[in-house]
Amino acid sequence: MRQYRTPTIFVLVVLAVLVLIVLATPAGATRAAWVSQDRVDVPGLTMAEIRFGVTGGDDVATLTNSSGFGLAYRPALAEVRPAGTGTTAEHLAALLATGPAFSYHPGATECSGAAGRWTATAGGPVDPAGDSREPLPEGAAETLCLAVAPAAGQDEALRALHGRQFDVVTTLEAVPAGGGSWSRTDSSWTARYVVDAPPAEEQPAEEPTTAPAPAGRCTADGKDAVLSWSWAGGTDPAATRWEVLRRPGTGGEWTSLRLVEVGAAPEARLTHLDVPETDGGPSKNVPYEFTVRPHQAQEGTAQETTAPGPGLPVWTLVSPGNSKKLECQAVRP
Amino acid sequence: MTAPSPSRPAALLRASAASLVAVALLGSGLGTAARWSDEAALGAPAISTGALGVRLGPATAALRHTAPGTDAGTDAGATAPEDVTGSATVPGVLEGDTLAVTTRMAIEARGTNLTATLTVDPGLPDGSPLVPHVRIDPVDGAPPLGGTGAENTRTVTAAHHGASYDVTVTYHVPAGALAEGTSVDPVPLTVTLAQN
Repeated sequence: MRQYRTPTIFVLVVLAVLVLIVLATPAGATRAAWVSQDRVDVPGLTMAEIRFGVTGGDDVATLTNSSGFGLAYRPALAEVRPAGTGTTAEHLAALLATGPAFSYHPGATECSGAAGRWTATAGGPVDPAGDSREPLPEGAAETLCLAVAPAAGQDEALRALHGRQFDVVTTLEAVPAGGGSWSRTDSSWTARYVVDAPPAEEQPAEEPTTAPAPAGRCTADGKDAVLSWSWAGGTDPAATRWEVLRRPGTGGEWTSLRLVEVGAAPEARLTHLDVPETDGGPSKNVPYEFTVRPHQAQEGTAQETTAPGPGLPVWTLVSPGNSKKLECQAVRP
Repeated sequence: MTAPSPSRPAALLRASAASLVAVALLGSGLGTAARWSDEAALGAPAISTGALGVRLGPATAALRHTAPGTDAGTDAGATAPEDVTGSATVPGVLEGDTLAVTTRMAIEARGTNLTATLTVDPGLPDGSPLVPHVRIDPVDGAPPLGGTGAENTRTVTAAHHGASYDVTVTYHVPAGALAEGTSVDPVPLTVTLAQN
């Protein structure tokens, strides 16, 4: 019995060793490897923002850049709106019909002089031709001036709008100076435009179609006649009295007839006695001419001197026959 | 007194055990796939010890303003870099800007016939608008790392053991990628060294 126990144990030991060998043999899928890893933190990023300010009014605005980086700007759109009392949409339409032009001048406080950096028509986009943006450095402030130029040849239409007020609303665009896709167009500036129409041209004097009204009048009233006239000159020194002059209607030297006081309306009253009869009897009476001239007192003297009265009328009167009445025959201005 | 001859069953048992041992010994050699084995025949010396490790130093960060549209890998149109080291978030970033993060990497690679792959992960999530670029520069005459054809991976061997390299990852902000005032969260820059 004992001689068979030893081989059995031997076989069992061999089988156990075989099992250990099989279990200890690495399988084909085993891919064990060393790995080492380390890391550092990367900071987050916050994108900047365009901060573009527009302040001011009338025709000059102040542009500011507080973005923290350089900007470039340009006017993008110019719109016109009615403003002020009484200005209506019809007035706006009339203004737009004249085609006013808007020009923008960067860095200026007065728009006169050089041509604008940008131009636009009312209600339309500002001319974007070429590299049209103007730099606005970080932290900088710059002025922008707007000039409105009426269209040529529209004087008559503009005169109808004289004094009308309109608001010119300019939308400004700002982008980073270095480029990119960012753009801001939420800043605008309102300037007031008051139409200042050119004065009307002097009209040539028209030829009178009727005879001019006489500078003097003659009103006969029976035995008397009243001569009246207008007088616009000689205010310094002012006329104090008028001297009535007379001469025959056939001509000759003027002779002084009398002095009359200055009234509210210059006039002189004549009687039939102021028209002398001729030596041939009443039937031979002839017309006489009368005129007046201012009689001015010379300053600093008590004496009065005569002065010519150019432009004053000449009246022609006659006392016909033995009527003892006066008739006005003519008045020459 | 002669010894008794073995019986027939006992002989069969011994023959069977010898056959099993032979089969087991031969079979175990065919299936060996252990990493630390050599391709040579049994009996050649096998790798049994070594070390593999990577360690990153403190990172520095610099923001550089670059004109949009220029190549993110160049310095064209760039301004002087602004040191933003230690910032959790960098403000005032513009389109075209580039954030550069640099860390010094030390490599430990000991072992016969050791090869490993170094991978630099910028850490950006899928769909991130940022464009990363990886650069690895040897320090103090360290041997260059082996190229793999990919920008962010290198091959490491025992020849690189103890060498240092500067790992720089740039994060470029292309035009049109991010709107004004938006943010990008911080991310981890990870370097992995895995045995091949």
